[in-house]
Amino acid sequence: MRFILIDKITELEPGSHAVGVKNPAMAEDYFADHFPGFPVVPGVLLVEAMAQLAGRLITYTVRAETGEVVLPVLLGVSNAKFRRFVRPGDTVVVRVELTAMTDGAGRCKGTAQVDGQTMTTAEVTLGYQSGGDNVIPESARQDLERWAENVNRALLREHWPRLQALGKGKGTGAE
Amino acid sequence: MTEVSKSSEEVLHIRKAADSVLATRHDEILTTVRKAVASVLGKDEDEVQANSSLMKDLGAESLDFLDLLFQLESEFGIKIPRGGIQKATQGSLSDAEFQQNGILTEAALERLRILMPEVDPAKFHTGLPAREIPTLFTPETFARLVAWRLGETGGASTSAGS
Repeated sequence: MRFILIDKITELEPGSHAVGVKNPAMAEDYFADHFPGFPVVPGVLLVEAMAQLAGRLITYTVRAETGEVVLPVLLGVSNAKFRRFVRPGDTVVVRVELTAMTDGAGRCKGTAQVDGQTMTTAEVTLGYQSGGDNVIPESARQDLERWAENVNRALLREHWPRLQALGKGKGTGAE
Repeated sequence: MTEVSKSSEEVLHIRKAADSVLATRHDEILTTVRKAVASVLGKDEDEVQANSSLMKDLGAESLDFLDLLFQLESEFGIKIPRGGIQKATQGSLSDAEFQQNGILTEAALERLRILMPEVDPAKFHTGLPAREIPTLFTPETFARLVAWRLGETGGASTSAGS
């Protein structure tokens, strides 16, 4: 199974929040075992979806501010609550809000909703490696570009040129 | 020599901002910091003394400092600006003026003694590696950090969202 737990990013506001969508289908391998005859999306995957979306949000936030491309990694999960079952066929709307950011790390509050009902809430803390081009492998850079393509087109039109312009501003001292 | 005094003056400003807040709110701030440390590290509050080394006595790791910072930000409604701690520590000193091969310079030690008066100045001895600075952190250090931020933002009463 591939480990991409957000199908589409529908909103991404650097420094603020991001919203993404995941459509778990009956085709997912894990439903065979979780649970036989009673397919439920594992809660940890919903937390992972939040972490992945939070990673994008933090990456874009850093990029918008400094032009740097960083590699986010999950450092911590707190207050995770699994309130209701997410079933195959549900459309899960994942929302993460940046609640704190410091040197090399950020924290987001996440929710996963189906039809407006909150299924899972958690807080995820991610660190990121910065330090210039040598630290970030080319694959991470490509990953970012690939994700950018995933972003809803309207949003892409709105944000991407701005982010790119900010990215190019790196090193000029221009704010 | 002139470098040392120039950098010291710069750092005195930060020291004074923290001192003025601590003069009236020290005990209250320290109590909240100790509680936060206890909760982040899963310790009893009485295990967390004002001068316990978070790393050596209480087993904190860098990830715990991150938790603590975020918790203190929300408890006190303060913002620790990104790069703020490093900027406060290093000031206008260049990397080379601050450390050489990981060893703190005399100018750096001088700054740290002023910034962290809660630590026995003798602990900032010649040859101290920069990476060992966090081993000197105590609840008092974080109380001072909070006070500095409160002082810089005018100590305005803040309403921390949620």
